[in-house]
Amino acid sequence: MEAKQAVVVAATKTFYLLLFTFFASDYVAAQNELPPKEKRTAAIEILYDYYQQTGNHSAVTGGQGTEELKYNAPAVVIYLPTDSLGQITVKAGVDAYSSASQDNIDFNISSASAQDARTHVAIAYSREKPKKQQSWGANTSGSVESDYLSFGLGGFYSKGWHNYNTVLTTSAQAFFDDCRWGWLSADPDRQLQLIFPEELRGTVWFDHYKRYTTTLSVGLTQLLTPRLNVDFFVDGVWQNGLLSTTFHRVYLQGQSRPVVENLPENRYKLPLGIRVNWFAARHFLVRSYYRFYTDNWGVQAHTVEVESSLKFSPFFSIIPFYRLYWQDGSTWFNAFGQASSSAEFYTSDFDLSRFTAHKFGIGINYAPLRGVWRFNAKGYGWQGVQLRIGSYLRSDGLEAFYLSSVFYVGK
Amino acid sequence: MIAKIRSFFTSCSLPMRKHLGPFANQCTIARLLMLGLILLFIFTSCATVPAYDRAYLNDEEMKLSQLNCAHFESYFQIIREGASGADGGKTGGGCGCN
Repeated sequence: MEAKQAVVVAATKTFYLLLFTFFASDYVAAQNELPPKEKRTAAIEILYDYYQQTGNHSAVTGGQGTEELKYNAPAVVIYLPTDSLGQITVKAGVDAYSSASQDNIDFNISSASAQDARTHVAIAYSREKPKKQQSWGANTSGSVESDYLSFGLGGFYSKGWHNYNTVLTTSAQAFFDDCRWGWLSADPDRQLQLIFPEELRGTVWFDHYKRYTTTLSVGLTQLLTPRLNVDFFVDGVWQNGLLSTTFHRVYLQGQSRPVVENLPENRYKLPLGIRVNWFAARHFLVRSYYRFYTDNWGVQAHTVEVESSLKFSPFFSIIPFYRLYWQDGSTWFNAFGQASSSAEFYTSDFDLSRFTAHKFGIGINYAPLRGVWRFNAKGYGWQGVQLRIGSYLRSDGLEAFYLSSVFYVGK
Repeated sequence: MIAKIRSFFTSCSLPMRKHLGPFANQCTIARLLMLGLILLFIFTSCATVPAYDRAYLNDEEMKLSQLNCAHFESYFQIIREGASGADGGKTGGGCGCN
């Protein structure tokens, strides 16, 4: 009997040791899957994304009201090899958007809050040790918009076995955010402060304005057959600080005057995902993805995504895709006027409600061997393009359309 | 022995449940982690694919992450949905209050 108990104890310890290992990192797959030779050439990616949405459940107006939004997001990514093993990656962009929802913070039509911009920069360094099948890297990032300042730090380490047949990637990422308004104000006498709905100003709703996010995770990549590979990954996320959005209104039962959204100051997220890619036939491959997600706010979600690639040639593909997302809403969510005044926490943000979302669309990938257009005799030029358009439909009535594009410039 | 292990993961009587905080009562988590561990051992015991036999696996569209032009989708999905993470993208940080 004692021997059996010892076995159970040993199994328990082993389980928690492995559990700890799972939580001790993050997945940075894209950097590590490219063959080393492909990463050594300086290259530029020019990105442009457009997104627009309509809906009638804005959290700014308590769960009802327009959610109309238009978002333009140009960006550039520069890959600079430092030597045969190291690389610096710089990404920068300025997103411009107009939000009818944010315009209703003060109920003045076409006020300054209707339009805003988000500027972001990220710098990463990665280095490989091909003989040891190892790579590591570090990154830092920053972004700012009128009501937000975010600073991020992170790093990763990956180790391969059997000539990269199996790759284990671990990493950590931390974000330090400041939720005060006024970062982009041109007024020299500006005062950084939390912004509340117009009629709720003058009350100290929150005495803190910082938000911290820490992510630890691990990913395991395995080549199963010459046509099949698989990836299993898990993140452990802890958020702490001001997790409420201070200009979200909540209308409580029987009260005409709203209050400011109030959410817990801690959030633990646990997503687990698996991705399987199968090159089914010479001109056809399937990319599939599943994720289970849960957190301590009561949100549970399942995500299934399938992309197929019809390869008309090695350099030209058409990629239809479909994604199904199902979410069980947060414990703290209530629609307009339904939150109890005795509740400890409350929100009317429909992003935290129970809903199903469908995303579908089509993409193309065109990258001819000698490039699309050469700029000079050295071979630099426009090397290829990826385009993607899609629709995103949520069961609560939110509808979105988006377009994404990437233009590759290099040698 | 098997029955004990089974009850270990299904009864939620985890000896360290107090350290699991908000997930202490979620048997699903334990089961999924168990499944993950099983997958881990299956993966690592698989036969290797030699480098000369990876022509299909080295295709750009076979990489085990999002395609480059799909990163923006991940960005807006993080904002519009309660779930995030486990896809190589961000899991927090930034505003997302639009």
